[in-house]
Amino acid sequence: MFRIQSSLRAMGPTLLGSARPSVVGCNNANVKATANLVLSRGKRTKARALAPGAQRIINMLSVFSAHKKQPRRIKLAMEDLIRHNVVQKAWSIFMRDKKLIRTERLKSQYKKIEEAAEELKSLNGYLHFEATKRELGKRFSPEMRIPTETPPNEIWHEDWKVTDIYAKKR
Amino acid sequence: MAGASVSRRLVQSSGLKNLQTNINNSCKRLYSTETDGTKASTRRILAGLILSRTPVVTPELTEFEKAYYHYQDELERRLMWTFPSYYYFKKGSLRERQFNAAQRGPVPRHANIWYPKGIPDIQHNRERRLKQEIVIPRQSADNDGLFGNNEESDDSLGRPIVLNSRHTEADEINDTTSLKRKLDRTLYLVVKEQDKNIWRFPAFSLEQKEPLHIAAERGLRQIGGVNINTWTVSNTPAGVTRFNESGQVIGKEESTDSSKREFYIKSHILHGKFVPQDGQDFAWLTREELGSKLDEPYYNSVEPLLSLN
Repeated sequence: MFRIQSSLRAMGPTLLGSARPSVVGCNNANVKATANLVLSRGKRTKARALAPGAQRIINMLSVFSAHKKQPRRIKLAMEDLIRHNVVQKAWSIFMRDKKLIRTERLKSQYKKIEEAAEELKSLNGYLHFEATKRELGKRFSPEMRIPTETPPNEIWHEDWKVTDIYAKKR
Repeated sequence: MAGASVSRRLVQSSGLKNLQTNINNSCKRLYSTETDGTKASTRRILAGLILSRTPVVTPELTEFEKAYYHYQDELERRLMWTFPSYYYFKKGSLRERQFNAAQRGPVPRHANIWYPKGIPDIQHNRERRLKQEIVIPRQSADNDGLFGNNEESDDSLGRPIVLNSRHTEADEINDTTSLKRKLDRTLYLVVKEQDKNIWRFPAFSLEQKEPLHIAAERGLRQIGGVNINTWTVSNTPAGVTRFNESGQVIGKEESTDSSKREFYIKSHILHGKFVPQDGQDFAWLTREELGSKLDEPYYNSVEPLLSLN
């Protein structure tokens, strides 16, 4: 923060408030002013270094800055490091197996689709033509829901009624 | 003249003529329904429907997954930057005081004191060697004029967050006709064939000039009412099962052109529910439950089409 402050000071007097230190050294020119200084209870004696606007900018910048906000580096002992590596390796194996099962499943499903299409072709040309027609512009329905960690207040909309729009579409 | 003769020679030499007759034949097949073969085959083809309710909640985690996610979470918290409270709370404000009062704060560092857990390293009121634990000051709605005074009203912002249970009433009584059961699994619709007393995916015979996916959706509304919102995954069937005359499932090798076939169209239910129009028995079941409900050869033929979850 100090560095930002000094660079702002270098930018010129506009950002810095007009307030100056009330007592500056013991120059001859200031002796008279010091003599006239009246001390009163509750009055701010230390002059503000920055204008409130500039201080706000510094606060905002310091939110993004790592200065003083970074935690200490983790220093793992050899045993802990080995433990960490074992955990990561186990996880990658777990994920790989999961993915493998999924891929195998998708492959076999694709084969089933091909097999069904071939059989349909040999039985009925019209049905095959309709079944393998390209569905341009097909999208997932916007009413589909992505699974969440807990269910919504209304778990299933059971009282859904077919509206005229839907009736026309079908 | 010369160009035409060259092209004719080309057609003759490269078997293109053969291809042309093939195309002509297939076109005839495509657009004519009058031929006996096509008509007869339509009668033997059924449009099966695999209607599924996709999971409402995320799958249950295994112990290993839970432990791993917890470990990663703790690592992330340990490596997180310090929370800049001076930015979020104005200096000297009531909110700042409430926030500071709620924090537990680190162990301060003093000279000539022995710290068994190491010398504290504090910056911005945070122990840099540990994760920063932030306590959000919670107030009762009564004390806080900002969030409304009525605790009972559902609109009040100060009300505590209560999560819905992943386990429902339908789970308690194991109501297989309910769509609110087994929220983390895919459920499939099966119906009981009245005359044969066996459970099957619903299948429908085709009408004249009706593609499979249309027949499946039409048939579903005939047996289950119109107040059901579905989304067909694809026009292409996901698989086929062949049956002999007595209704037994047979393999590809044993099947002939005359054996009955069910082509399965996949679809998801989005809203509404299945209400049997003629009192037919039906159930929404998971993959494992289907294994015990359906007969084995039939289950083996359709199981690869189902989702893993």
